[in-house]
Amino acid sequence: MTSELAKLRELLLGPEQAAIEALRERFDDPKLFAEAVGSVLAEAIRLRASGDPRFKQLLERIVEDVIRNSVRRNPAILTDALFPIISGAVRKSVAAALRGMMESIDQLVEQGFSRRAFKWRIEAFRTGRPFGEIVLLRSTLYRVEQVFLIHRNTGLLLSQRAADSAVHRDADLIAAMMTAIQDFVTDSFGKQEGDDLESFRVGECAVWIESSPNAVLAGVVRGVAPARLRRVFQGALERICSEQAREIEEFDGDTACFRESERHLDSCLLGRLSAAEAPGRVRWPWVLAACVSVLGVILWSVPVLRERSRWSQYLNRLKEEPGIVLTETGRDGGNYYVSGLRDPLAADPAALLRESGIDGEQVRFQWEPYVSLQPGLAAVRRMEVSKTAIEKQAVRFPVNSAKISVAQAETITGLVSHIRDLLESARVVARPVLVEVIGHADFSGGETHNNRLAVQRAGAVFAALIGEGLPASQIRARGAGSSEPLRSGDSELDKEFNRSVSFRVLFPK
Amino acid sequence: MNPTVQPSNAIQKKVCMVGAFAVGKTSLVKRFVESIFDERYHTTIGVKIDRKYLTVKGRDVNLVLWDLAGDDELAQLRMSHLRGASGYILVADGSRPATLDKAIELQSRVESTLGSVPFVLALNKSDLVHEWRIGADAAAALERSGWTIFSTSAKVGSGVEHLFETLAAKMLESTEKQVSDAT
Ligand SMILES: Nc1nc2c(ncn2[C@@H]2O[C@H](COP(=O)(O)OP(=O)(O)O)[C@@H](O)[C@H]2O)c(=O)[nH]1
Ligand SMILES: [Mg+2]
Repeated sequence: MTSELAKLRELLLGPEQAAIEALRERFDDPKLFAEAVGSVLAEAIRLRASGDPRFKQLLERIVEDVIRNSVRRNPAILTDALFPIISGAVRKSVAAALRGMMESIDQLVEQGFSRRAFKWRIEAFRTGRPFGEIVLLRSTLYRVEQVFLIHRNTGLLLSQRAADSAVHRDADLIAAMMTAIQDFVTDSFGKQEGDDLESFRVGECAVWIESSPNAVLAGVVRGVAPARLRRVFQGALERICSEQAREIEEFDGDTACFRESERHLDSCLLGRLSAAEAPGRVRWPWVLAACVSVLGVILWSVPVLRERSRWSQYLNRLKEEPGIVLTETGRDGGNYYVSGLRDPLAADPAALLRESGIDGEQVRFQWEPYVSLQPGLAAVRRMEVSKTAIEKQAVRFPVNSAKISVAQAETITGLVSHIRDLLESARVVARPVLVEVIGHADFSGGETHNNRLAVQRAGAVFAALIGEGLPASQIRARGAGSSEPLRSGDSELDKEFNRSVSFRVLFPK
Repeated sequence: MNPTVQPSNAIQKKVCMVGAFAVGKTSLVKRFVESIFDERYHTTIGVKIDRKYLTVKGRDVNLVLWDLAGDDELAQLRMSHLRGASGYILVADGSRPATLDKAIELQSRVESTLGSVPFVLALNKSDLVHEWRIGADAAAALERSGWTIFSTSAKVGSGVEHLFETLAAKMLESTEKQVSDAT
């Protein structure tokens, strides 16, 4: 029965049974089961991951764990796997770091303890610029003459700057040529992508090339530049590439927008050349600096110089002055001193000092009096003598009269000779002089009468002097009435003195 | 050659000369530009670079011309030199029909490198009237497919200026189109 039932079941469900059997076999046999799951696994993960972010996170965590475990167990496996990708990058960065280090060591050894380095440190401190930059500026004789910014893909010139503002008119061709040469080198020597030509020489100039993925910076360097310069180029190129990434990427021939990068290019125009290396070229900044420092010294010393020159001018003037003989002059501490002989008639040294603009406090005088025989001074002396003689004279008049008596004629004759001497001496020293003839009257009589009488007396003497041939232009007559009495008493003798004409010598300015 | 003063706001364009050996690429450029580089570079570096300023549609354009040395084999035509070109000039020799076939082949290979950038075809040596071998029908067929074709003579100078000016105008158009597409 059981066997018949089994037969029937086999008849009815035979194919299904076989299928179920096969399925079970697949589930039970690990190899077959793995095959079955494996065929849909990728698709299953994709579906699941796209619908469920948590699944992705889970996967990530698993992968991370796996990698971590793998590295912990045997780092060589992953290193080997990644080496082809990263070795280039690592090699480049290590090489760059090493090169930088070598340079710094070189420079430290070379310049670390020198006096120059000390000066540069001070300069760096003073100007607030990095020490490296100062070293770069000062240490070697070289100059970056031109800098080109080149679009890497097309080899077209984006921007250029030159040290002496004369940009190269064929820079666009040079830029393209440089790109072509770079391609040529890369092609010919089978270098790896990213290993670019770093420099080449053209005559006495070297062209230093700094590359980034989209742009190239090329500097034409004359002389021997320190390797550090490369870092300046690198920095400039990095700044340009980060500031104008979009413009470089989308460059379509219009270079106007790259004017913005000119300042970065300018920062690459470093260095200086000695006179030997730049023949015939005047380096204006240095000339200017020299001028400025000379000017500075002059400005600083102007007050001193001015005082010195004033002092020597003053001494010369004193030496030329009649009646003054200098025996000793000099400086003593902050002050000047002068000693010598001085005629009392000579000009006043202190007054001359004021005229010359020197502070009188600063000068000490010591004079011995003497009589000078110099012609000028003799004339002055004679003038003084004449003046005294003239002013001693008086022409007397009788009561209520303006007539010169015969007795007074002698006085007039003496006067004329004194006045002649005076005018002659005055002419020698070219000094204007005036003789004043003053008429007086005694206190008796009315004022009006006295005034008239005084004028008449002065006029009479004036006429007598002119009559003797004296020039009218140098003689002046006036009446003083009884207001300027020669004697203030009221005795007959006093009155007699006051009925007169007196004389004064004036030296008008 | 008229003296050129560099307009500071000129649009810069890189242009490549492409064609079979001895079709007259170098001669066409020589006819058109002022050169500063020694001929020597041409063979050593494999490229000669020259420049020409033009004014097209009121815009100053500076064509930087890359004349690639090398013969028929494109393998020797350094594809790196084509990089970044805004346009190119295909050159064939009218007295040698094979050079036109070569030009057609080169065109498709250049386009696969550069993408679809403006180009013009110069059927050169038009002065050799008696040796002219390229039929008008072949040129007409190419024109129907969108090519711009000039017959030129580097020797007597005919059609040369027009060739370069037309390419320059095409490149400016394509720039403007890109700009308007982008906005
Ligand atoms: N008759 C004639 N000869 C030409 C012309 N253009 C070039 N040639 C000559 O063709 C030869 C190859 O020219 P070249 O410019 O060097 O060809 P490339 O190899 O394409 O650069 C030279 O001998 C040229 O003188 C032309 O228009 N007419
Ligand atoms: Mg050639």
